[in-house]
Amino acid sequence: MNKHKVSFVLLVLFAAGLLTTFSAGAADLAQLRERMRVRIPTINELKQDGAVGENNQGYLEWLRDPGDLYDEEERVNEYEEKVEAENNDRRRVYSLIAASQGVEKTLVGERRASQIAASAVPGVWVQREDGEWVEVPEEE
Amino acid sequence: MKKVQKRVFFEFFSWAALILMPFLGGCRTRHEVESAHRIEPVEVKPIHITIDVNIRVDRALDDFFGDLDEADETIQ
Repeated sequence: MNKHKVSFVLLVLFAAGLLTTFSAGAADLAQLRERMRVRIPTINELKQDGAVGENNQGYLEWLRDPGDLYDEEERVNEYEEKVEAENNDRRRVYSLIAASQGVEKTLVGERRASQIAASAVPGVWVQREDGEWVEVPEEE
Repeated sequence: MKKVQKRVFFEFFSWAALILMPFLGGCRTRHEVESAHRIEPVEVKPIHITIDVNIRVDRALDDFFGDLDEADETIQ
């Protein structure tokens, strides 16, 4: 009888653990998405200024020294932090997708990079697969 | 007379058999059935597998970034 009780308690604990893990994963993704949404205007500003570009690994990369572009040091620091935070969040998303799909994180990043490059608006800098940086030209 | 006839008959056929023996080989027929058992190599299609993986990853990326991309002015 006691044995059955112990088994039942273990089973309940296991189920609770599973539930916690999955909800934590979902919550993690929701938080990531929200943080990235808040960052969009700043990242867009940097992209349109040609300060950062989208590299071929799915991350943002500084193309120009932010200190040369912006006078205020506070602003420069804020931008640098935001770019770093964005890349860290992207890394986390790629890891989660890679784990769920059973593929390498680098592949997920490369696929995201090609999605961005294919749909980037004119004026944004993107790195081609061969490593060359190009500015998306104006549409004719 | 009968005995002599029998002996002659026997001797004739014995000699005939002996002489014809080497030619018996020519009467042999040969039948060869060629059966080829080829084991077809297992065909691995890496291109299809890669495409399938890419589609799955793209779909997962769309699920996550779909809403974000809609709000992003730098993405069409």
